[in-house]
Amino acid sequence: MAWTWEEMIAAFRALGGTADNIVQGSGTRGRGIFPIDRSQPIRLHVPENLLIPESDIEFVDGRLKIRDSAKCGRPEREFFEEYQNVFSWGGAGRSDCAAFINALDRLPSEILSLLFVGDPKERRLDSDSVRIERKFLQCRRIEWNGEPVLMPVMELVNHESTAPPYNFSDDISIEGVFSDEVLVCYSREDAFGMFVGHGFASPERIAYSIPAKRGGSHNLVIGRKINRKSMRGSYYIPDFRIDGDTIELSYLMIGNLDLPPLSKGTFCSIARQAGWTNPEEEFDVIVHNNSMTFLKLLEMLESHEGGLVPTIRKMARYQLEAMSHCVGSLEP
Amino acid sequence: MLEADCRVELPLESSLGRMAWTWEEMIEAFRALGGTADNIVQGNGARGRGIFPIDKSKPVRLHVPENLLIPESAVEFVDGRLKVRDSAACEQPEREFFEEYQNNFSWGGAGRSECADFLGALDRLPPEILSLLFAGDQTERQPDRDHDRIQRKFLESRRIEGNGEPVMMPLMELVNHGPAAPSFDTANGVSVEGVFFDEVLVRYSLEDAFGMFLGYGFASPERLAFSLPTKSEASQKLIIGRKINRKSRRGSFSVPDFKIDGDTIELSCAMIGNRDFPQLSKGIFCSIAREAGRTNPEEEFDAIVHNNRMSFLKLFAMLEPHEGGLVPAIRRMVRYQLEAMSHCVGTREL
Repeated sequence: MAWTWEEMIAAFRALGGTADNIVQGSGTRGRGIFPIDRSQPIRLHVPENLLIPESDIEFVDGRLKIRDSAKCGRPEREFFEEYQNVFSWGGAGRSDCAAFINALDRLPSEILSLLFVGDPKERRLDSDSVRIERKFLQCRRIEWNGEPVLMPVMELVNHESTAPPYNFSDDISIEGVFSDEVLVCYSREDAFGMFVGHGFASPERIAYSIPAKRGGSHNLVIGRKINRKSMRGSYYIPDFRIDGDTIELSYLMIGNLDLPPLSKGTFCSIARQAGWTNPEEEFDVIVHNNSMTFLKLLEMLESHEGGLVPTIRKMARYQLEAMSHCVGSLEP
Repeated sequence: MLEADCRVELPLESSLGRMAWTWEEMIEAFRALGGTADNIVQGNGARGRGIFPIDKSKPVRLHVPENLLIPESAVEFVDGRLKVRDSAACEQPEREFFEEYQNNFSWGGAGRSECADFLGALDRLPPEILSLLFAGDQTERQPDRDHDRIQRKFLESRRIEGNGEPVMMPLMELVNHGPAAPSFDTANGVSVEGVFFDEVLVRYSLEDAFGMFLGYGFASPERLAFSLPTKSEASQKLIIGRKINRKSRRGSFSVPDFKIDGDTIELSCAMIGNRDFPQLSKGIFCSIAREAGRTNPEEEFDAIVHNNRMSFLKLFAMLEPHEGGLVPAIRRMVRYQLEAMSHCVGTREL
């Protein structure tokens, strides 16, 4: 018999998981996790033994399984596979990803090229099942102890940019009082990154530049590996490398709702270190190029309706709104 | 041309009791009164009805002489027809021409129905969208009778400033707008000339995409963007209007009128984007602001541009649940405005 929610939670707890005051439900974001008693705190904790490395996962006859060779205890293996096939992959995960991939495929190629500019084209030539499986894993994994893992039950919690992030000091957990749906901030992505990675439009508080390579009097390479590895003063800055006339940035923030002067200030601080004399204007050009890219995307969408078009249109607007919060300059 | 369905209403008889004018008859009468209409014909193109060259390899010349520029104050609507007031200082041949032209090719041609369609489409927009579009201008939203609003819209979208007053310019008003086209030549009457490989176009005015939509009812990718009207009541006051002009000078650049009065800066308008000179917008503002003693004009300007962007993105958000009618045109207008605003890069000293 297919597992009930209560049976699954009981098994989850038996293996060391914590699931206090939570239940699955439906809300404005679709299926999600809700408090049973909204006046009480919730706690959801996935212990290390239930965090399954993505490299240990395989799909066999349409079911998600843990590889025989994986170092995983039998009870954990049985729990994970049953959980996946009742509540996640087999629940609606596969069909949700398939619907998204199909909707993507119905978009005109020029829109796809703009959305996935850094994505190798051959990935779109894979079979549908491979693409669906890859999409499923991509939007459910999380970096933990240096490798991507899947986190049963926790992956059912929906995203909100203003919610607290996951707590990684305690395996992976979230807790707190939620007056409505239980939400977590998935990552420090911007609206564009959220759409490409997870398939939804979300109003994020930060915007990052799309990848770019510019020559001219100065060379500039901008990536999209968003991280918090470097600091300058009390602010996070991208990893960067200065090599003669070339600056290479792991990413570049170009809008921040909470600290509007920080984006330009961060870039100018690094560029001045590299000896650039008019970094303010260089930064303005980067922001302009980003604006025009998303406005071009909106233009392409004008002659289409339905499917993913409303979502992409919302995503582009969210991205432009975050980018607009770039006022003045504060050098860290 | 207005962004609306075009229903042509042609009178069966002219006001002179004869069969409706043909294009050729009208042009002949126009020329007889001093007008020039070389190598042009009415046609249909990407912008709807417009004026096209007969021979695209040859120049076009269209000139409306002063005797055919009828002051807006001299026209009236009587029994649904556009007429020159009896009291107007206008000769009889010009009066007859103007009225016949209006009722065959303009107001009576499709002008009235296009304006009515546009206003009808506006009225179908949700009130929160209308409030945002007309935040600085309540005249559009006055509860006039419908026919008064249609008449006012018609005159607004066809008049031009000539000799210090708004005038109607028969025939010339059939030429459509192109943001990159030359402007009207108003040195002697109103004229346009040149070689046109497709439709004959003219740049109506120095408006931005938002101004073009409000004034003429269409979305146009303009090369400039101007700030929405704003008033900041901080310790250092800033008032920005939308009277677009280039009446003052800073260095070698024509800039809008401005006034500095103690801690207050009053700008007749503020350019916030320029495709041809991306550094100029911030440069003009900073030059004026520094003269007024502001210490961080760059950040103040950034805040103005940010507020403008957020206003248009808010309009974009409001449009998301709606389709049809004017929604696609407004969406396009917003994009054009944001594109022009994006062309604001760096700053230049004036």
